[in-house]
Amino acid sequence: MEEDFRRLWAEHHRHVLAYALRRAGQRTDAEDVVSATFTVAWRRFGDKPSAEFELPWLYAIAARVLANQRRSVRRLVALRLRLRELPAPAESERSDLPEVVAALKQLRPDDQEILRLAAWEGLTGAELAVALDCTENAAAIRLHRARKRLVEQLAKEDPAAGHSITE
Amino acid sequence: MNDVIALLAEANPVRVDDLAPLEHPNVARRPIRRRRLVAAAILATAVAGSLAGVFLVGGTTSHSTKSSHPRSNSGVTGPPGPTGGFSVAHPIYGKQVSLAQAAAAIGQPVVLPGTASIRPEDAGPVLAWSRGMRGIVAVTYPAEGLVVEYERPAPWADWSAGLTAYSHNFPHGRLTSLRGTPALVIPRKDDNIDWVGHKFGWVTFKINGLMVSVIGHYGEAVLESIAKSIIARSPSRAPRPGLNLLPSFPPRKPFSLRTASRRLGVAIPLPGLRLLKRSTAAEGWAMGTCPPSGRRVCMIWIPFPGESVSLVYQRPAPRWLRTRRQYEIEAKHMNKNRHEAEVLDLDGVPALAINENIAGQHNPGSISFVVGGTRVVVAGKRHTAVLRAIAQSIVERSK
Repeated sequence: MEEDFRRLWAEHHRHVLAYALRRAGQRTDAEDVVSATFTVAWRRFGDKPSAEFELPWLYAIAARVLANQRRSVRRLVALRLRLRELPAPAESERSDLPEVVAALKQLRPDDQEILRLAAWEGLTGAELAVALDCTENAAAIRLHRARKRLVEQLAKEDPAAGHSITE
Repeated sequence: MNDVIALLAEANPVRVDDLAPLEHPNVARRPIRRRRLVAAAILATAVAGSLAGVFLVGGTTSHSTKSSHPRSNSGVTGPPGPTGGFSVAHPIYGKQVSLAQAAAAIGQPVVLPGTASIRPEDAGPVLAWSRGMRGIVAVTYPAEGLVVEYERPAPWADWSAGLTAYSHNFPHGRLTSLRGTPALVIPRKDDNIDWVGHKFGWVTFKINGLMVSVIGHYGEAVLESIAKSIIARSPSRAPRPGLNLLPSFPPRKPFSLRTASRRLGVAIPLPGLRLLKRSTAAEGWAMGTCPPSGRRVCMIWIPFPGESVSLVYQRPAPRWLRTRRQYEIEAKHMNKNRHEAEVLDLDGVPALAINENIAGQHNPGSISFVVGGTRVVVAGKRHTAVLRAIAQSIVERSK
């Protein structure tokens, strides 16, 4: 089991780090997320899905870790780790297409997440379903709606550009 | 016509290939013990129900706990939250280390509390976390429901003013003086519940450049007495600063300066002797795959403690932070956050200089650049001009 866990780490930890960096902003926070994600993964190793869905499963754990991390900020952890960390220089602001990222940020969190999972983590329908803990059909519908809203948002921010983009 | 997902994919700000691998966290170790102990507890329950609590309490730590302690049955050391959030038993995602190693992370000895109820020998697992110039050590007392954290550097040049402003975030917080040391006391309230469901309070104060937080499932008076004992046991003067600037912590693969180039796989460009005497170099250490292989990254650190300078080399250099444009973007972000970052030109080699002044504190700065496919970071608690001269010398000597 430990060997299998090491393989899981070796194959996926950088993907989880990238996932966290895209969302957490701070490198240190992202590394904490990776650490916590794999700690949870180890504890729940019995629930690990087949190899093809391991990464979406890790993303699902990481999403919860991130959510908890954000809540933690309001608690004691705020004092300890983030006392001096001023607003995070978000990794997402490093994008070559900041206007697209800016439009993304205008969407509802659920829409943002499914779009990121599809575009940045490159998840397909079944993988999205694992990561979001929903059916494949529900994931497809949510993705379709989110794409539509992103196109609308882009068009709102830059009408000329928006017309040239399809869902 | 662009598909919006394709467009969004292009906007992806973080590419996996740009990321250096992290150290394996060895998270596997602790839970194995926990599972074994939980299994033991189940067995014990079957044999003698009264023993079960003892096993379960001890099961979450890698230390034996004192079952005789009145708090040991309080559930304080119960299983960590579902996502491993804060608890006094698992306060930070650090590595478990010895006290001596912990001292290296904060650059000075760890002063433990000493009261009638919390004795130095009661200390449980010690965790340490370090990034760059920051270090945090958490000394846990799982059976006592207590953790003491030490962080360097402490925030705010004016501690009293900073603490006063910060206290406004806590309606129940109270500023006090512990043996003449300003401190913030946060009582144990419903607002402060850890990931295993226990209320906690804490006392924070600064001593010898460290921010110390005493956190536990106790009332204010007990936490204050523990804090006072740390203050009383602390040396009157802070140790000389400048040691342990970099590397981060903990050392993984130590090596001597003579073998540094072999580690990195290429000749390491060092600055001129006039700027940095080789004899002042301490043992370096490496991380990752050294020498590098393919995309597997090797990083090596060479500290010069006497000079308060460290050199870091990384191969292959990351794809991000190579060009002048990338440095400009980075500097822009950093300056948004009150860091003082600027892009330098070192004989045609772009470099990013960061003066990590935080609220007026002169923390170590760094200059990073890429020469010959190697990322070099010159870091130290020195004037930027000195760091720049060292960086310039490295560039010249690498040509």
